[in-house]
Amino acid sequence: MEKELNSVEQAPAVKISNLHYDYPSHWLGRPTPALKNLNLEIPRGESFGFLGHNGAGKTTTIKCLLGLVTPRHGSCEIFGESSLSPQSRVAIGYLPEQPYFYDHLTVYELVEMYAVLAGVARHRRASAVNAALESLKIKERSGSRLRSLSKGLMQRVGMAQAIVAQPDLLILDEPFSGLDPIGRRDFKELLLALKEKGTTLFICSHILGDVENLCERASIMVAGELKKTLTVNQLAEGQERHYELVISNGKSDSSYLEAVKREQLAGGSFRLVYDSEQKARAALAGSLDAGETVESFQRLQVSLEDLFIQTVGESQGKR
Amino acid sequence: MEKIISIAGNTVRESIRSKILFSLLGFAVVLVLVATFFGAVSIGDQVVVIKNFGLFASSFLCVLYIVISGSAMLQKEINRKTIYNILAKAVSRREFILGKFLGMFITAMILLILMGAGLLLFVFLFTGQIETALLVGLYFMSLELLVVCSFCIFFSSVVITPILIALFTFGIFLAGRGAELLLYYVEQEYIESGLATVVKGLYYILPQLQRLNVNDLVAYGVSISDTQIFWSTMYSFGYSIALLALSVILFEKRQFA
Repeated sequence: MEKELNSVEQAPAVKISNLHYDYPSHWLGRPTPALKNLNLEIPRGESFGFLGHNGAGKTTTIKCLLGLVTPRHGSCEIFGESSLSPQSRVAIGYLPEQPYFYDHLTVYELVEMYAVLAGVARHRRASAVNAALESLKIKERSGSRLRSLSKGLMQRVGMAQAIVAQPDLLILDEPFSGLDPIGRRDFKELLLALKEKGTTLFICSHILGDVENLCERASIMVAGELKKTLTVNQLAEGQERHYELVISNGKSDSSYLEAVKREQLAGGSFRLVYDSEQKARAALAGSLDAGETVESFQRLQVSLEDLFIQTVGESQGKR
Repeated sequence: MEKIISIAGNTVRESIRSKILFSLLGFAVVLVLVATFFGAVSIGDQVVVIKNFGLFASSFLCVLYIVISGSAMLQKEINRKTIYNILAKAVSRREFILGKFLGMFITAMILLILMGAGLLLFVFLFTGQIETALLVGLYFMSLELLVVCSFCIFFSSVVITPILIALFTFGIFLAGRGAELLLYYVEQEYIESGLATVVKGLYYILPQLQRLNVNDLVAYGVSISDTQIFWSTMYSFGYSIALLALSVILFEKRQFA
C-alpha cells in the first residue's frame, strides 16, 4: 500500500501512453481517427504548451484527460490516477475554450457551485471563492448575473472557477481568447504566480507568443499526431540562425544578392535576411562602404510561431 | 452527497428563475376557475367537480413541466457544454445524473405543493373545512411524478433529441395511465394468443401509473387504505431506483466527443 502511495506521489502530473481515439461514425461510416499513438509526459510543476492548428486533436486530448471520452487504445494518467476515474480530477482545474456557464447564476453563485463540486471544504469555501474572484479582479462583479457579462469578463469567471480549489494541474484551452491587452497581462501574471507556487500548467493556445513566454516546453500536434516537442532553450539555441539587416537610401544591389529574403518596408527601407553571420557581416560592410544608412542589424531567433508554421507546413507537404 | 445537492440546487434555481414555472402556475389558476364554472353548471356536487378538476390540473401541469422543461434539461447541458466543466471536477457521472433527477423532481414537487395549497384553499372557501383527503391525492401524485421524472432522466441519458425525449416521456405517461387496458384486452381475448404474451409482457414492464391515480377516489371521498399507500410507495420507489440505475449505466458509456 505504501509502495503504491509512493508511486502515485512520484508520478508525473500528466502521462499519456499510446493514446488512440477515433471520432465515432454515424451509421455504417468508418470512424475518423482523431488521435494517433500519442505519448506525452509532463512532470510536476512544469508549464507546458500544447500547440496545433484547428482540428489537430488538442481539445480531444483534453477530453481524454478529463475522462469525457474513452480512448480506443492507450491510457491517460493524472498524478498516477487513470483519467477515467473521477478521483483523478480532484487535482485538476479546467478552463474550457469559449466558456459558457449557467447564465441564470451570479458570478459568486457560479464560482461557489464549482467550489462545492471541486470538493472545497464548507468552512473555507467563502474565503476560497473570494480569493479566486479577487485574483481575477472581478470581486466587484460578484453579484452580477453571468448573462450580463462581456466575453472577457466571462473568461475571467472561467479562470476563477478553474483555480478556486487551488488545483495542482491547470488545463487551459485557449485561455487568452476574448481578452483585451490588460486581461492578457493579468492572466499572464496570474499564471506566472501559479507557476511559482508549483502548479503544473497545460496550455493550449493559438497565441504562440504567450505560450513562448509562459511555457518551459511545448509540443506541436498535426492531424492527431505529436510532431515535435521542444524546450525553450532548444528553441533559443538549437535552431538555424538568421540575421536581419535593415537599410535605407539603398544605392547598391550587391548586398542584396546573398540575402535569402528581401522586402521593401513601408517607409522605403529594405529588409534583408541572411542565413549566415559571414554573409550578413559582408553585406553590412558593403552597405556602409556604399554610404547606405543602416537602420538595424540583428540576429533573428526562430520564434515558436516560425517553428509552428514550419512543422505544420512540412507535415502537410508530406500528406 | 453535497455534490448531488449542489447540482440539484442549480437545476431548481434555473427552473425558478425561468418563466415556465410561473406560466404553469398561472395556467393552473385559470383551470381551477374554469372548474368552478363547470361545477356551477353541472348537475353533480360543485365541490366534487372542483376537487376532481383541480387534482387533474395539478397532475397534468406537473407532468407537462417535466415533459417541456425536464426533457431539455440534460441536452441543454450537453449542447452548451456546461457538462464538460462539471465532469472536469471530481464529479462522477452517477452524481451528475442523480443531481439532475433530484433537481427536476424537487421543482416538480414545488409546483405540486403550490398548486395543491391553492386547491386546498379554494375548496376551503367553498366548504369551510380543510379537505385532508386531498393531501392523500397529492401524495399519490408525487409518487407518479417520481416515476415520470425517472423516465425523463432515463430517456435523456440515451436519446439525443429533446423533442424525442419529450415525446417518449409523455408517451410513457399515457401508456402507464392506460396499462390496465392492455391486461383487459388480453383477458377478454381480444388479442391473438401469440401477441397476447408480448402485450402481457409489456403490461408488466410499463409503469402502473393508473394505480397511482386516485383522483376520483379522493374527489368522491373514498378512503384509501394504508396498505395501498404502502405498496404504492414501494412500487414507485422501486421502479424509480431501477430506472435511475439503468440511466447511470447508460450515461457512464456516453461519449462527449
